[in-house]
Amino acid sequence: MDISAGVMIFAETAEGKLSSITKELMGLGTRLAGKLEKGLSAVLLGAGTEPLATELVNLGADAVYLADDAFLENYNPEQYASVIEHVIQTAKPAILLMGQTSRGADMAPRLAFKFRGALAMDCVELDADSETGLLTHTRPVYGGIAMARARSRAASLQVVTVRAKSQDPAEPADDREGEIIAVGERARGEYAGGMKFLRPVAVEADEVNLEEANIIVAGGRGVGSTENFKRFIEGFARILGGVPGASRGALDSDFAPANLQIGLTGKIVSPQLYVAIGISGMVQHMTGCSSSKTIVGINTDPDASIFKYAHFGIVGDFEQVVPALMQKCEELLKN
Amino acid sequence: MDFTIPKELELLKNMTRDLVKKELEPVANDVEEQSKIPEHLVEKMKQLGYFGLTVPPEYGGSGLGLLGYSLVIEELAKTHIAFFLLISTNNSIGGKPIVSFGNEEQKKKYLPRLATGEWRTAFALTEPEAGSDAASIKTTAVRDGDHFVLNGTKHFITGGPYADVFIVVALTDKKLRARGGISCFIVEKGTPGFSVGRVHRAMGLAGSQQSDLIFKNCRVPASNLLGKEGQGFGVAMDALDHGRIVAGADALGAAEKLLELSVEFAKQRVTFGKPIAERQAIQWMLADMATEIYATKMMLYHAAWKADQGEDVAREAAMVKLYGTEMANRVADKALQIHGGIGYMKEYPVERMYRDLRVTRIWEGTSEIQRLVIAKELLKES
Amino acid sequence: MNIIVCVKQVPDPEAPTAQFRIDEATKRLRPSKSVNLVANPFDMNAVEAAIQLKEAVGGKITVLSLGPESSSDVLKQAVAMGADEAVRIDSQAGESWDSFLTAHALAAAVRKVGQFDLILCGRQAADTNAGQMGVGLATALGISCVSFASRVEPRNGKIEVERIADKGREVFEVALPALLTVSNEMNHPRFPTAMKLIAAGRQQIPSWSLAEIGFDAGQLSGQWAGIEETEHFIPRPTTTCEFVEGETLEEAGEKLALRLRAEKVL
Repeated sequence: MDISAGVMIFAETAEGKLSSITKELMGLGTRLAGKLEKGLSAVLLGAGTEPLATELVNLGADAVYLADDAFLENYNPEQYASVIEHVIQTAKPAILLMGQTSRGADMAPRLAFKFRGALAMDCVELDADSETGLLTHTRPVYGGIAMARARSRAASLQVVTVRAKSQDPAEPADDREGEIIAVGERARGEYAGGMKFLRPVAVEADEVNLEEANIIVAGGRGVGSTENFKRFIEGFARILGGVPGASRGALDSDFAPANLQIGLTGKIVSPQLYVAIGISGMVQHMTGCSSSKTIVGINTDPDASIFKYAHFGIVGDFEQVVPALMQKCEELLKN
Repeated sequence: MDFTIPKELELLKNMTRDLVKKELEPVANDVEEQSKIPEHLVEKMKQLGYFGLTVPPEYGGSGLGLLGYSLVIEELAKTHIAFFLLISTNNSIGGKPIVSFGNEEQKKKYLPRLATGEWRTAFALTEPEAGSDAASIKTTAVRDGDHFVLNGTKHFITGGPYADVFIVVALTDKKLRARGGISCFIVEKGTPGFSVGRVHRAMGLAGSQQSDLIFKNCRVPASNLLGKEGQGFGVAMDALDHGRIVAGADALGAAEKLLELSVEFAKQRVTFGKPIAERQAIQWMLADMATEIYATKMMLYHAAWKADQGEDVAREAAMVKLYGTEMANRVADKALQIHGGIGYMKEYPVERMYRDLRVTRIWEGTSEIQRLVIAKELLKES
Repeated sequence: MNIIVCVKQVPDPEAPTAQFRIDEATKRLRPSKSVNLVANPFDMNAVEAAIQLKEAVGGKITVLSLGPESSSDVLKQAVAMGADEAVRIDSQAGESWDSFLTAHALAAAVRKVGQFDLILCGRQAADTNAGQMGVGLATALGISCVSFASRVEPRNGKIEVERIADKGREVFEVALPALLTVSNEMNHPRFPTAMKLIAAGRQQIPSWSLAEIGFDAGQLSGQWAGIEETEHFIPRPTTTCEFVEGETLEEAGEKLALRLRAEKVL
């Protein structure tokens, strides 16, 4: 399969595994490459990433550009960009798919500006015109109040970032074949830029894995205080065997740590159960959780938009509702 | 005619709106339940200069005229009324008399401290037997050397329990009364013979306190006489003209908030298969609310602007106060009716605003007194 | 430290969603008249960051905004908060500015400002949500860029910057000049005092024309493909909420637990 003018994905890893967005990108990439009758490739950077290249092949990559090198262990945007630029110049993909992640959203504009390509960020739907090869995309604007449909103008490179949990992941198969091309050595060079990675920093709420959680109890500005957040949000989450989350309102009021933020500029989640307490349900927040299986809203305001998204709702003061709800849930879960 | 609001006032109005939305409204329920504004928000309002909006810049304030100050109050009134009451005495009836009638020494001593909110003021005119009929006050001030000795009781004084500086209206000549027998004094907390009496329990106004003030042979230095001896009725009336327009701004802001809540609710609430906003009965109520709000706004902005041009607005101030507060009560009644049962419940702001707005027809002169003032001005002219 | 902050005026992103409609003719989202134009919230985080840096090490803050006359309001707000100078780069409403053109116009304005150590931008604009301009501006100027910055501290002529990673944070040392796109985690923007806001409100904000900064959009056209928006639409939630009620709120809470159990959610 011809890789040039095809689809390339930017593979990311988390704790030594391919991250879930990468599997989604492979699923999307397979669909688009099939439609355009072109090859699908992946670019994988990091240290000790070699075993994952085979996995990308199993997920459908015709070629994997692998830069497995100690100097890529940590993220230096300028070094990462130079490696990927080299891969793009070599492989000449027409389309580059990246996750709307910390690295994907950082790298995409760098590359698009460098190659003067077309760029669309945070896409939730993507398709390609099989004749022109140009992408059409749907992405949120105005904080998610509206969605914009757009198409790329003719460009030698089209870069997009894709919203987590918006695409069906690729299914692995053992019998696939693909080429693994090592590029790390070639791209290494002597980095003379002004950026130096110093250290990673763990954040208190880091152990909370919102993206993978089955149950999330989230609190908003209406929770009123840090004590209430601890008692009702974290406490209820513990009873349900879930994790706590927060809206931007709770963060701005300093009730909750920043890493718990769910929404447009925070985490995108889709648990089985999402309990929203004292959250008004502004679209910027709901963008991050509206695909949850069951949404429960507890709010004093019967007009709060949370009830437009919720499957179950109680209108009333959470300080009265939640203790009874917590106790009953605990009771039910014991039996 | 140019109806453009000066840019700096527009920006200040917008900032206040932002402050209300982000910091004040989220705690409105707590203020109601605990009857207290959280201390950090009092500090924030001080630090942002909200206590000295009308204090001249040379004494550390922002030097806002009535239009600018009214625009701020209009926004502040969209949340719990306690925030309006928090800053309104220093900026209006408590601080204005010192700005307008204080001598340089008094201004230098008090205004910078009022502007920062370090000291808070209260305006003490009303007595158990002298409310509307202000000239019938019984509190006396008798000259004794370089002091005045005050005796009497004041009543329903907003800020009584926590104010540091009181503007006290007292009789210096029982015969002359309003015609030169009333004087104003600046009384500091802790002056011997002065004490705070009973704290009233009100229908609304959580988060602020009204109390009696008791003067028992309270010796006030003659240097604390505000304006000239006998000029006190004028000082009080000047403060009230200011206060009445501000009372109108408070009513206007609250009414705007109630209309906003009502429109939102009417669009959402479905009965018999249709949002109630599609029912004419509701539409008429909304249309009347909006129209009256607009009328008040025009009256208020015009009267405030006129006052800022240095014109006498005694009549206009009374009209703004009368129409604005009566209007807001009508709007609150309709808003509650539109909201139905939920509007009557304490978890929703309509109930609280309905109660809090009731007093606006009474304070700063009842509606009946406003009519009296308006009629008197009318008949005086013809 | 000489800091340049780029800010943008946007329709209030926190206005009720009901106040945004799709214009049938243009197929674009149009805010109703009651939606105020405000400073892009992330840009105010950038202004606050600049002020805190200035408070720590001294220097000068210049704020730039590309936009029509109304954008001066945002600049006045930044001045009231503590910026030293503000310049509006004059563009007309209705002109089409994509991230590429905006980045290059701001790059031209930055060159006219002259010497600088640090440029701060918000992480994204609340209207377009593009999140491209900051990185694009750094690329256009050929300087280092850290996106999604959550902390910045001056260190021996360089800066130490923390950025938001998918898990935790990543800390970098960055040589100056550099550009940061600032995330809301970095700070809470201060409200200006009433006095400063009034003073700033009375100021005239100078403006530069595109010609004055030596920017010619024509020269750049064709160099950037970009994307072409075809339409906006408003997604509507389709859920119906089952309201759980009880004699008391406590009872409603218990009933909800039972409902969730019955639905096998628990």
